[in-house]
Amino acid sequence: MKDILERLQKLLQAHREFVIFGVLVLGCISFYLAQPGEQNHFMTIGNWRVIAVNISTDALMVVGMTLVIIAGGFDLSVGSTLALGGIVCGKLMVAGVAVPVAMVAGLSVGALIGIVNGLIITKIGVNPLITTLAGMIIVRGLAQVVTQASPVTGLPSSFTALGGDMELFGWVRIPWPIVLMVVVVLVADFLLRRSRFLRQVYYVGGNEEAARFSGIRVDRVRIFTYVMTGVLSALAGIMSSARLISASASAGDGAELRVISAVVIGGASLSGGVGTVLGAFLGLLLVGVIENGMEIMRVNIYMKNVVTGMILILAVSADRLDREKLKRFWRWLRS
Amino acid sequence: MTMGITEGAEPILELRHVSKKFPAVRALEDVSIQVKGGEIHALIGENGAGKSTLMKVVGGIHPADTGEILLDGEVLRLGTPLDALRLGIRTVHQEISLAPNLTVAENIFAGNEPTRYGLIDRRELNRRALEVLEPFKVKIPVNSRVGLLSTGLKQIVEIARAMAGSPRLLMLDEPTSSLERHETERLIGILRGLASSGIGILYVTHKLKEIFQLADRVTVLRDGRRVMVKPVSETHPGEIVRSMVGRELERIYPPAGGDIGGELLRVEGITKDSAFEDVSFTLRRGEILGFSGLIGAGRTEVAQSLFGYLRKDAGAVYLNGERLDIRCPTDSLNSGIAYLPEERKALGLYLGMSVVDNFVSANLRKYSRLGILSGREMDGACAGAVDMFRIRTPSIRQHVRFLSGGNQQKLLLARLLALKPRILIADEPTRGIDVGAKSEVHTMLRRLCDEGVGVIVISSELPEVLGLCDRILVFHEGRISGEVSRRAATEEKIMHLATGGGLSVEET
Repeated sequence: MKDILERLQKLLQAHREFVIFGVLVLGCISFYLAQPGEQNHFMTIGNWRVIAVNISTDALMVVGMTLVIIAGGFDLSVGSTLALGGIVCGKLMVAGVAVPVAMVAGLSVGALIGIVNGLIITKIGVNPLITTLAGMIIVRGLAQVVTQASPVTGLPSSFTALGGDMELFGWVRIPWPIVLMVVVVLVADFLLRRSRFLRQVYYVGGNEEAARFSGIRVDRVRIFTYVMTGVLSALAGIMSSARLISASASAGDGAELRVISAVVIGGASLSGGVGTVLGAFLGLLLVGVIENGMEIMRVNIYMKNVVTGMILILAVSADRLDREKLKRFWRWLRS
Repeated sequence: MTMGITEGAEPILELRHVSKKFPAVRALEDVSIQVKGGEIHALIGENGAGKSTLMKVVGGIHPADTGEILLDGEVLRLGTPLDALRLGIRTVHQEISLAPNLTVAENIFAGNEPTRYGLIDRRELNRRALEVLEPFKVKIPVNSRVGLLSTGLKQIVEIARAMAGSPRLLMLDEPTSSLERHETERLIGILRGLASSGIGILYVTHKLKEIFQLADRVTVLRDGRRVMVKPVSETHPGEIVRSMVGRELERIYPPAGGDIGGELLRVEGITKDSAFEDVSFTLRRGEILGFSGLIGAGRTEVAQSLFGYLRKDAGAVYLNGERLDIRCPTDSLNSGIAYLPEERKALGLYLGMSVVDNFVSANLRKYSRLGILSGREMDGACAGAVDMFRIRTPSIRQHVRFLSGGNQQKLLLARLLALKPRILIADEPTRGIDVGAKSEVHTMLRRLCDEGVGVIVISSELPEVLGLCDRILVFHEGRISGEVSRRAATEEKIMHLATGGGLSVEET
């Protein structure tokens, strides 16, 4: 019996995804049971569509952030990049540039921010936290300068259609943001597990010097991770402006902390080398579901933050606890 | 229990039938030990034999499952490391754990500084530090930052810090593993002095020679059990080795190889400012070339420059007559030069990752098609290597953190050899690993030579250099001070060259 428990604990620690998924299912069940009757629309397709659309932009950033954090880095500039990417794309379209060209330009802005962050971190050796903190402030400032604080509107309808539904066989309708989210998460999860290039991200985060001695081009890998967050954040910006039919300089404010929380809840370690895209995505979904459930339960809307913070600290603490520590804690309680 | 020199003295530390179990790791089974006042008690055993566990149990890091620990005749209840510290049990770990940016005095009294009006009294701090260092009879400026000291002096500061708490029992875990010979001798003198003041010393080591130089009694552990305890005067190295491994080591060093081939690597006048100067040599196929010298003589720097980790300022390197342009380790591995770093944990291993992840890290290309890795191929190759190199691990999914030092080193070698290198540079390949693993590593290196690979071995252990290498280059202060052939080499000759004795003893 004890042996089984021990094995189970090991299995759960090794596969964070199962644990979060379990918690997620438990959460759903309790929200479903908490308020019986017809007015509880928690378990309806319509509500899940809302949840999914709500997390769809964060999910793109979560994918990039997972890479950065596994490589032992950190990126605070994602929220600002989201804003600037959306604005650049929007401004160009309003000025008459073709939609695809404007989108590529928006993504390039994200890539450029990533390259600059990555170069400063690897070649000059500034701490990632500081580098991207500065990046976050500068990029947000640029977004405000470009827009003069008035949102970009009048986006072409061929573009805003991206915020709408994809139609299949004439009767299945799935919002494009959800489609994009699912595709990006699945592809990224597969590549991070199986591709040769992305496997290097784990080695770099696991032990940077050992990675160098293994012949891994460490700086190249780290810069790549920042470019990926940049591009994915800009993509998030483009998608959210398509959905909201406008791009504003305040878009994505505070997104960086939400995204980092989700990645950490999903099992990544800030010291690097550990984490998966699927775990991080489930972390984000968990937070999204709980926030949604609390709204439906009509819990005080400001409780959302309290709960999100508690999930974060619980998830990380659960990781740190082992039997030895529990025993010690128990002994301390008794003494 | 056998009585020795310390007959009659009261035991300071006593372990009675101590057992400890871990889920995956070998631990302790029914171990009893007595360390008496004024005694230096050596503890020896292969890696994984339970030495570290024993120290951790006594140090309060892990509670024992069964059995008793007594200090000065009283049964201890150790909950935390702090309990052990308060009772006067001090541990000096193998890895130096000083704060490099604080001064010597600050390190010695870390957490326990003398204060005046709530502020640190710097003058008093330095005075007391001098007092603590006094019996060590070495000159260490108490004001200097620890990061600036040599490894040998850091080790002494580490011991001084332990002594500052006037302990009853001092436990040392392989304190000499990164020390030069003269530093080791100085340390042995210091420890003898400390013991004569009446404290007990438990000394964990891998080096047989040291046991006979300094210990009063020796306990041998094997697979978590005590297999021998004897006064040192009543035993001999052969007996200790036999009880450690449970078998006779047929031969400690593999016999010299057969044919040494033509020139493989030629190094011409490579120089790196304030590290090494004008270093030239050749390495031939199937040859083991030794780099001997004192720590700080520039051997590691030369090796890391060849590997592309450090940049050289001048000079040229030719592989098979072709000039190499190596800018980073990736280039170097691509041209067939592999490097086994001295600092296993810092530069070699991904401690939080599995055996298989560690094994494939330098060789991902080999296990992938169109950029996608094949889990089955990686697992298969790794399982093969685990078998071939006899790496002891419960599974290839085990985190390497839980492997013993010898097995970690074999894993690193396996990783490099999977690359089929033309040249292998092994930096202190057997440091801190047990006798059995050591001889396996030696055999591996020799077998590699027989396949035509050129091997460079950097080693601070003279017997290893003498036993293993076909030719030895001796470094002194960043230059090659002489070359000695296997036939002509003696410890004296090498030490002479290494200490800058001048006179060249060249012979081929």
